[in-house]
Amino acid sequence: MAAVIRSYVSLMDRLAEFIGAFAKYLIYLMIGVLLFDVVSDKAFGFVQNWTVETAQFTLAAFYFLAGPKTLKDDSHVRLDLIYANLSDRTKAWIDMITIWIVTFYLSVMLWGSISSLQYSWATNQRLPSLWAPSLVPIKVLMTICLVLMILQCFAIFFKDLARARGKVVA
Amino acid sequence: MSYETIAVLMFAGMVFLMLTGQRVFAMIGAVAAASALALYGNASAELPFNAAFKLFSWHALLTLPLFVFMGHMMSKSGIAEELYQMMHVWFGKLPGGLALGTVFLMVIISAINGLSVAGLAIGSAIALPEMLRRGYDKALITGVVQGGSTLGILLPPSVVMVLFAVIARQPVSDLWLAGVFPGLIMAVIFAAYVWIRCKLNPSLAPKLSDEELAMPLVDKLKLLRAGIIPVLIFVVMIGLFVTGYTSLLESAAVGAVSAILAAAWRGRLSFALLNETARETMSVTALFMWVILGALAFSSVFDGIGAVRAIENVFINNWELSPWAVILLMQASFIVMGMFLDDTAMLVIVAPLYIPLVAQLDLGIDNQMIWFGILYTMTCQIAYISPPFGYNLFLMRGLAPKEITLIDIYKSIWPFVIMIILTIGLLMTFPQIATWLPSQFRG
Repeated sequence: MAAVIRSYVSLMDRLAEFIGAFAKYLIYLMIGVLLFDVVSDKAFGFVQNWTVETAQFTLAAFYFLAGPKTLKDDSHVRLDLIYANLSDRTKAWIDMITIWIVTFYLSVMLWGSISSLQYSWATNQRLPSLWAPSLVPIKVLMTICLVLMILQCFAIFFKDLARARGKVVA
Repeated sequence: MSYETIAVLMFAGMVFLMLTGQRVFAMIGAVAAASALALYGNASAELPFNAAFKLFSWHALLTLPLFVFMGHMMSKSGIAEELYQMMHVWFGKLPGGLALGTVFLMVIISAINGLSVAGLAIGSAIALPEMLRRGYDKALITGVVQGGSTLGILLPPSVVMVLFAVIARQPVSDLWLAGVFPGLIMAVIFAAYVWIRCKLNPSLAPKLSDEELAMPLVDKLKLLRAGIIPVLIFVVMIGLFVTGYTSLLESAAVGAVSAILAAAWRGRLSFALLNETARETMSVTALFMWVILGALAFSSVFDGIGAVRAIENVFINNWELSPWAVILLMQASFIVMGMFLDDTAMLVIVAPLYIPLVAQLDLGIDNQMIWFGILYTMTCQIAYISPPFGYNLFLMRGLAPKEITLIDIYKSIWPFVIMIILTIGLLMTFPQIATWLPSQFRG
């Protein structure tokens, strides 16, 4: 396999790992924010109007940022019924084709996210609530994540291609 | 092309793509995206992405990562080992004592976490090796862990019920309370099965030697302390929530924090554990959330083409089914679909179709939707452990000791599937089993 492709794959893998390594700590942010909410509400009687929404944004960031890494680690569910019984080579051949269906879905997601971001940007869209945070930052983040997920799909394609030919990409 | 044809094509396309073994979330999403574009053109390009924002109004979903976190933290905190030790000594004398103890262990684990995975992990890592070492029958004990761990979604807290509550717009607390008695009855049935089989055939479960169980009563009582933490966590989390003192979300956050505290108290809390739990939580949460995203997009398109009315038409007008026949047919279709669909995807796709219909049926049951939610959850239990697409089946293969083969696992589950169906039958005959407890709390 050409050196360029090999370094592309390894760059994408390191990027996914790096983002995942950072993003996993968002769970503690979520717990912390909600704990603050409980303590301030129950112990001091102050109801916070921003905590639940912050947790919502954090959750969205959490699973979008996890996207590239979970694709790379192959930790999403697959229907094993037929797949599990195939040889490694056959699996690679099928994956090499079907990864483009994954790419298609993510591309439509990206298309949607860009058009949705443009709308939010143009109208200064905010969540309809007391706190009314802007939706622009989270949409920017989601859009970037979708781009990275698509780039990760290309890397997976190259890996499958190599597997189908009985080779391994480092 | 008629809308019925489109609906059938979408469903068939989804099943076909999933059979290729590619990642389920994207196969569902791709069918949704392609059909939206084909039906409504470029204007619908935002539909799959907007699913992510639909979730912003589903506050209850925020509990998902918290429960996943809690389950993982709890299973690494050392509480489970201590509990197992307790069961071992207290149940050791009975026929099939360790297996009975394991059923009990699964009930306690279920009461402090919302998925079945933690029970499965604890059962395979702690209970199975011990029982294997003592020559217990492989098929029996594998079944106990498999079947017992599914109680995780029936006994509160339950993530499956949170999802159902969001889709059916029912209070989570009612659903959780409604699951208590069916869950306990099911556990008793499991235990009775183990006891009877071991009584009839003692070779399935060799007796423990007396010296192994010989222990001063004081020490035996001391072991009971192991039960204190789980009870405390349960009371703090579920108790405060169902009495209305804290919200669902607050309770889940308290649960997550109490799991960290439990690990700290047992001296297991370390930076490595915090790291590992965060990584695990991220991976499991992403897995669920992306399936929900894909399935939500699918269900929007399905909804748009009037699939709800089409199904109503077939069931009620064309086939002239009685209300109970409709319920039975729905259960049957859940079981069949559960063989091919991931249960989260099944809920998000099928529930919006069935729920409006169930609400209309005149079954003479108070709180019909709550009752149906429990029926649904039990059907999910079957889907979890029945081949070919059972989550727990595949997890088990990875987690269990090597002596246990896939054949053992397959052989072990049938009695448990039958017992779950039996409990479903009970619940259909006596709906009060589920609906009584929530009605007491509502006052």
